[in-house]
Formats: sequence, structure tokens, C-alpha cells
Amino acid sequence: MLSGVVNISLASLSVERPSRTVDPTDYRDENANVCGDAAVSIGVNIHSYHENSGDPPYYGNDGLMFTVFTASNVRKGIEYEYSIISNLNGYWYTAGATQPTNLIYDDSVVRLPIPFDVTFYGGPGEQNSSAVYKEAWVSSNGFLSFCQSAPPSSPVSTSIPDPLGPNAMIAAYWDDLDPTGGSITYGETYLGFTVWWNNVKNKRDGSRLTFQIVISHSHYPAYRGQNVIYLLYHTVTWPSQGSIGLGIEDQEGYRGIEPPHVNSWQGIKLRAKQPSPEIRSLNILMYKNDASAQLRFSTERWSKKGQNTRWTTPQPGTPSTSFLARAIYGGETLLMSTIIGAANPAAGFICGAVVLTIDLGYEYYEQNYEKRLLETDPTAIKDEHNNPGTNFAYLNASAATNAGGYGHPVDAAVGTEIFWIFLDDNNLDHELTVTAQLKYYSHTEGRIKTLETSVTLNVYIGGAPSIPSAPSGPSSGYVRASYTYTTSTTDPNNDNIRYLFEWGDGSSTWTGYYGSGATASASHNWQSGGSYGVRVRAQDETGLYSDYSPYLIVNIVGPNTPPNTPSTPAGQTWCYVGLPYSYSTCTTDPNTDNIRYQFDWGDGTTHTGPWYPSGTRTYIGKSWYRAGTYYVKARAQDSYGAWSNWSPSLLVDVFDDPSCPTLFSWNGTAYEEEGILDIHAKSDVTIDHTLTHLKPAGKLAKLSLRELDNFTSHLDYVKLYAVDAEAYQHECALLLAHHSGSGTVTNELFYDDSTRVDLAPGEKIELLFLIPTDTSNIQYFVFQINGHNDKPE
Amino acid sequence: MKALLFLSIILPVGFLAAFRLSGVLKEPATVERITQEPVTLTLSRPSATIAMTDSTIQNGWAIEGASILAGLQIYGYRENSGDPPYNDHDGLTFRAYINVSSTHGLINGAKISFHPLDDNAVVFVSEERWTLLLENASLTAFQYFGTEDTEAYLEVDVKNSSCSLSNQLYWIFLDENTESHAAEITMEVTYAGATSILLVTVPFRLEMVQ
Repeated sequence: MLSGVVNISLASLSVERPSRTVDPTDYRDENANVCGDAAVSIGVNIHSYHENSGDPPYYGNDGLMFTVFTASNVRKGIEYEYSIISNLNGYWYTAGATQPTNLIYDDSVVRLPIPFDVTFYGGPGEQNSSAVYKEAWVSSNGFLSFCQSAPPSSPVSTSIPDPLGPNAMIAAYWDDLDPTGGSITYGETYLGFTVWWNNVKNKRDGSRLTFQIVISHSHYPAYRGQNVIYLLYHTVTWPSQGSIGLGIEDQEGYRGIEPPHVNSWQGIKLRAKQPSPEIRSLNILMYKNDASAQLRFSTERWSKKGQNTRWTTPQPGTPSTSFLARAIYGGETLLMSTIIGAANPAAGFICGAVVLTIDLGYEYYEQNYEKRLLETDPTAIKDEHNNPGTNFAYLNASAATNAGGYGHPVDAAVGTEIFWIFLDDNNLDHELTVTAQLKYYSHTEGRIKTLETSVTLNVYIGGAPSIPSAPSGPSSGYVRASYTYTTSTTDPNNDNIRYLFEWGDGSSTWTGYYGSGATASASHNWQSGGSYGVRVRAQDETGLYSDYSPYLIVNIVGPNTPPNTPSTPAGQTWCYVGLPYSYSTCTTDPNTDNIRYQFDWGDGTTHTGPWYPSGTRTYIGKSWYRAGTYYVKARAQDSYGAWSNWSPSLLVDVFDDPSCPTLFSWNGTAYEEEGILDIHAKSDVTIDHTLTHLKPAGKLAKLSLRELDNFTSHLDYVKLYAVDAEAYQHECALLLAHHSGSGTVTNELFYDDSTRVDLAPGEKIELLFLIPTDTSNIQYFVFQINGHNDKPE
Repeated sequence: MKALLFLSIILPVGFLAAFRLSGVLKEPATVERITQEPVTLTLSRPSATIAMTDSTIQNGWAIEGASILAGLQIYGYRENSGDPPYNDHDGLTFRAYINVSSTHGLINGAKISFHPLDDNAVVFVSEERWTLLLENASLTAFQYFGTEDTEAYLEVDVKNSSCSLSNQLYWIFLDENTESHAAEITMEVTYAGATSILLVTVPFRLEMVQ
């Protein structure tokens, strides 16, 4: 390290070394160093990591490719000097400076465009090396400022310099001036951009003043590229009382110059002092600490970047080695692609690096430089290519001289891509310090000074994930059945992790990435029986593997056999809407696996019960909510998911809510329901019901009335009619009515009278009618009942 | 001094005229063009970055006393690479080389040209210090950028009868891995034989197919 070098800060970028190619990456870091009269910045951007790359210059090794950008300026050190113009002959021009400014009121301000680019105190104020001033704010009170933040207009001048502002200021006669009776105009004269206060009144003493501020076209390299300023006084008086603002001031208000008052027809010329600070070189230095790595600077056209620097041999036909000059030559097809900046608020300004990258414009460029040869200044670069085994590499970019040989620039940039090649077997850490070194001449100290800023890159062998837990999941199963296993582990760097399950049958499964510590899962099915060792290993995002987990032994047996077909569901076949009923079924599993049953109720719904040992009879409750005929069936599933066939169906009749007596007729073998006799009313009603199932036994017809509801019916009489082919109704005599609770109630049901027979819930009345002997050709029977059931709604 | 200057000009011109008139010097030889059949390498376009170090093709030409051996060695395919000059595009990195040997006659020059055949690909010729390899040759012309309309090339002067020229190229695909691409690479050698000048072209065709 050179003595006297100022390197106040270090930035560090640590990267876990991947075990596979990672391209692109998004690692970057930057740093900056600012001193009293200069600034230098560095940015490092890692493009990619290559593992065992066959591409040159890796030649089978690993390595990083990264870009280094450096930028610098010494604008902060620019100072101005003045000289007195004793006679304005040759300086005072008004032609072209007559455009109205609209500054016609007291204490007013206006923004005026400047027809050419202006640099002033190295500005604009934030010292962005690529920017220039293109406008100024002009006050009626005799001054202008390049800062947008300048106060509109102050009639009271401050000392120069003064951080309170207005800054970036040029004051010719800053006092309380009134344009009334005169004029303030502007325009471009022979000398430059001119603002002309013509015959304005000084409100302090009433005197009339005529003067100009001129920003010259001249910004010769001898003046460090800063425009020359003229303060020209045609007619002027300086009051003896109070101060008049006169001079110039930089962007922060820390530097300025206050020339003396001059007389009428005299002026003041202000220009950057010669010498001022100037850049001599901007270098990239790299220090590494091991012999297992190599460094190579890229000399590809698209890698080399710079401004006002030269680190390549001048090429035939190239008008300038300045990258900026070439960029301008390339025209509008050049893109500004990267801006790296580092701020130092305490110092009050920002060191900015603007790196231009040729992204488009190749064709245009080639038209002008098609014969460019492959040459690079051999003295500018030292790296492993021309100096094997070195731990110190550099790229020296000397500052370009300005056209005509005047001095060196006040800002510069340089950058390129760098290959950092690792010769080990991905088992070593590496460290590299990349330094931007600015060498500049300090006129105040009369010597070359050095300012540095660095970024340290660390590539380390990261921690692989810990060994994952043994796979968790079924330890036995059947061929072709799918089983799910889980595992988890952590990564010391909290990298995301993915898992490789090896199933023991030669196949494996990668999971997606999980957060460190999260549980991962994967499923598998084996195609043949046997005992399999299942294990898992983890890999983090950088490609580092853990060791394998312990095995989980999984016993897979031959194809699973589904359960036998369950028995026909057993249960009530005569049901009513809304009432609960219970049904059961049973079967066994050939593998004695646990089984569960699924009932299909015939109404579109199913129910699957809990797991039971094979052979266990299962009862499940069911209610239907609509009358109808339903086919209830069941099937069984074993614990490995195999289903049996469906059982035979059980026919279940479901009836509506029986709120009145239900009539049954003898069909020759059994009583069969004819339907509900709806006598739901507050008083007696008569209902005729045509029978469809009655089959007389000789001349006798047997019927049954049953109260299936939970509310009592009150019956007055019942009749049965045999209807012949002519639709004549022949009444059948009621021979017997037997009440299940009260006994014979024949007489009570025989007449239409005031006597009622109550048919309570659960009771029934058996009826026996005699069919008239003279009746033939009976087509059907009609049962008539009179009574009521006042069950509430 | 003036006499020496006079002799240095007059004598060579006089000898040249005399020999030409007397037939000692032959008339300029005619240029004969020889173009070999192209050799094609067709690669399936990968979907990820992959090394392809086994992919090499060669082509050549020989007569008694002179031979040309040219070839392409594929280094690898990059998918969305962040490295320049890919700049987040895909591409193929390869080396083109040509070795010329001669025991009779002279090798005057050699040229490697690269010409993409579609407008969605470009080619760059490397300017790295370690990629350009020249033996007995010096670079005279260089076009580092090629498109469908403009070929990239390297051209050398040869210093004696045998030479070799080799450099790395980047074939960049500007599509989103949806298209096939093709390119022509030609190696040209100018050989001055005993009776004629031969312009030998050894062509290659690279195909990157979906």
C-alpha cells in the first residue's frame, strides 16, 4: 500500500460457494471514499458462478465472473480566480441580449434557458459527472443561480460564500433593485449567455445601474472545462453604506470568491484556477491471498468501460481514446445501463459513477472502427494471463489528456469484467480485495495524492444442510398402493432446501424447495413386493448435499385383496318420513385388514362409517325425508383403499307422515297398504278411497285400519262398496269391526250417529265385510270412512 | 547520395521491364476457387446451461504439398446467462480453428467468417487475450460483430508456409428459447501454388434446432 493513501472504508461481500453453476447471480456491493477535494467509488457486480466450466478461461475449473466499475472526480477541488477588466471595449455586447425576461416587478425571479451546456464549480451541485447546467434562475436583484432551490429573490445580500444560499450563484450587484424605469433582458451575445440589467434603480440611494452577467461560451480545458464568467459594469455606483453582493459561490456555499468593486466601464473575469486538481490515473487493484485462485481482466470490447481514461492502445481511425468520445460518436444507439452511486450525506455531496455500456449500436460502431485490431496496452494490465502466480493484479487506466494537450480531466471512470478462477476442488475458501485507486494532482498541496476505496469479496465453503430425519410414513403396505413419507432438516445458512427421497427400488423423487426446518413430503408406490430401505438426503440452494438419513424399512406385500362383498343391509323396510331407522351389514377382509362400510341409501346420499376389524357387524342410522321406495346397499373398503363389490339391495318403502288412519286390505296373502285416509279436520268428514289391493276371500273382504301417527283419529262409521261394470255401488255389510284395544266396535262404526270410535296411535281395527251375493261382475271396491283427526298442524 | 537514390529506383524498374519482356517472369497466375462440401453439426437446443465439450466437427482439404484442417469445437450452451455478451440471453460458445501446412508453395492468407442465417441471432468474436491464437500469422482485419446482414470475420496475413488461426466466438440467440437457428462458418485460405493461386473455402454449417 502506498504511503499517504487514504482508504477510509471497506465493504465486504460474502458469498457461499455454490457446488453447481449459478448464472445469473444477483450479488453486488459498492463503496465510496470522499475527501476534501476528490471522490472515488467502486461497484462490484457478480454475474455468475461456474462449476467445472469448459469455457476459457476456466478450462475445467470453477470460477466467478464479476464486473468492477470505478468512478472518480476531483471537481470538489476546483477553485476560481478573478482578474479586473479595466476597459469594457471588446467585452460589452448588447446585440442578442434584448429578449424580455418579464422581470418587471420588484423582487421577482424568472427561470431562463441557457442555449449551451454550462459547468460551474464542477457542477451541477451534486457533482454528477455527466450532467451540465442548462438553465438559470435570474433575480431582479442583480444575481442568478443555477440551483432550483434558490430563493425567489432576496433584496438583502449575504456574504460570499454562505451555505444558507442561494448557492451555485453568480452575483454582479446583489442589492434591492427595482426594474421600474429600466429593463432586464437576456440572450446570447458574441461573448456568451448574457443577462442585462439596463438602467435599473437601486432603491437604497435611487441611483441608476447598467450591468451584465455573462456566461462565456468558453470552457477551455485550460480552465478545467469550466465556463468563464464575466461581470461587466457599464454604469455603476457603490453606496458607502451597507454591503453589495458581488462574486460567485459553489453549490454548497462553502467556496466562493468576492472580487473588489470596480468602476463604470470596467469588469471582472472569473475562471477556474490553473492549476486545479486533475486526475492522473484511475486504477483497479486486486489482492488475493492464495495460490489456488487466478485473476484475469477481460479485454472484451463489451467488458471494457471508461470515461476520460485510456487503458488500451489507441486504435487506427479512432479520433480519441476517450470512451465518452466514442460513445458520442456511436450516437443515440448507446444506452446508459448502469448507475452506481454512493452517498456521503455528511460531506454534503454524492460521488456518482455513471457507467455507459454499449448495448446497442454495434453496427454503427463497426462502421467506424471495423479495422480495429486486437491490441491492449501490455503495460496497463498485470494478471495471471501475463504474470502467472501473482497475487496482485492491476489495471492501470491513465487519464486521457484533453484535446490540445491541456491537462487532465476532473472526472473519470473505468471498469471491466474480471474472471476469478478457483483451482481447487470446491473445498477452499477464497478472498479477494478489489480496490479503486484514484491518483490525482492536488494543486493546493503541490503533489500527487491517492484516494482509494475497496470491496472485499469472500467466497466460502458454506455449510451443507444437516442430515434429515429418517422418512416418516407407513412401514408396510401393498404393491401399487401409494404411500406418503415426510422428513425435515435445517440448513446452517438458512438456505432453502430440497430433498431427494430414494425408495430402495432404484427410483428416487426430488421435492420442491422448502424453508429450512420445514417438513417436506413425497409419495411413492412400489410395483412389486419386498422389503425396501427408504432414505432421504437434503440439498441447499447452492447445491450442497447433506449425508443420507437413516433408512426406514418398508415391507411391501403382494397385491392387496379387497374385502368380500358385504351382506344385504338388514333393517326396517317399512318406514316413515323423518323417523330414524337402523341398518347393519357385515363382511370380512381376506387380508384381515381393517374395514369400513359405505351405505348407499338410494336417495343420492351415502354414509361411510368408521374403521372396524374385519368381520365386525356395523350399524348405521338413517332417516329419509321424502316418501318413496329406496334401494339400500353397502360396500366395504380395506385400510389400503381397496373396495369390495356392492351388496344386494334392501328394498325400503318410506311413507309420508301418517296423521290419519292408514287403510290396509287383504291381498290374499297379507295386508297391503292402500293409503292414508285423510280425515284431518276439526269435525267429521267423509272420504272415499278406491281399493287397489283387496282380494276377497270368497264373499268376505278383510280390511284393517291402523293409526300409525302419534295422534288419535275419531271414527263415526265405515262402509265398503263393490262397484260393478255399470258403476253401480253395492254396499257390503260390515260383519265385524275389532278394535285392538277396545274389542268389538261393530255397532259403533255401523251407523252415522254421535258415537265415535277412537283409534289411538299404535291401535288398529280389523274390518270384515260381506260382499252381497247378488253382486256380479265386480270391477273394484270403494271404502268410505267418516270421522276426523284434529291433529294440530 | 542522389546517384544512389537514382540507382535504387531505376535499376529495379529496369530489371522488371526486361524480365517481363524476355519472359523470365510469368504472367500473373489465375485464381482458382475450390469449395469443399460443407460439414454440418446439428445440436438440439437445450433448456438449461450445459457443457458440450464433446461436440467437435472438422473439415479439410489437401493436395500434394499442402493441407488445410479446419474445425469447430463447441464449449457449451448458456441459458439466460448473466455474463456478457449474453446479457440474459441464450447462446453457444465455441472455438473455430484452422491449421494450414505447406511444403510447396506459399500460404498467403487465411480468413474465418461467421454468418448467422436468421435475424434473431448475432455473433461476437472474442477479443480476449487468451482466446485469439495465432501462429506464423498476423491479424489484418477484424469484424467482431455479425448478423444476418453482416458477417463477422478474422483475417490474417501468413508469415511463412504453415500457420494456424483460432479464436472463440459467441453465437447469441435473441429469442426466448422458442426458435431454431442456423449459421454458416467458412474458412478460407489463399494458397499460391507452382502454377496458380488457389482460394480454398472450407465451409461449415451449425444448426441449433428446437
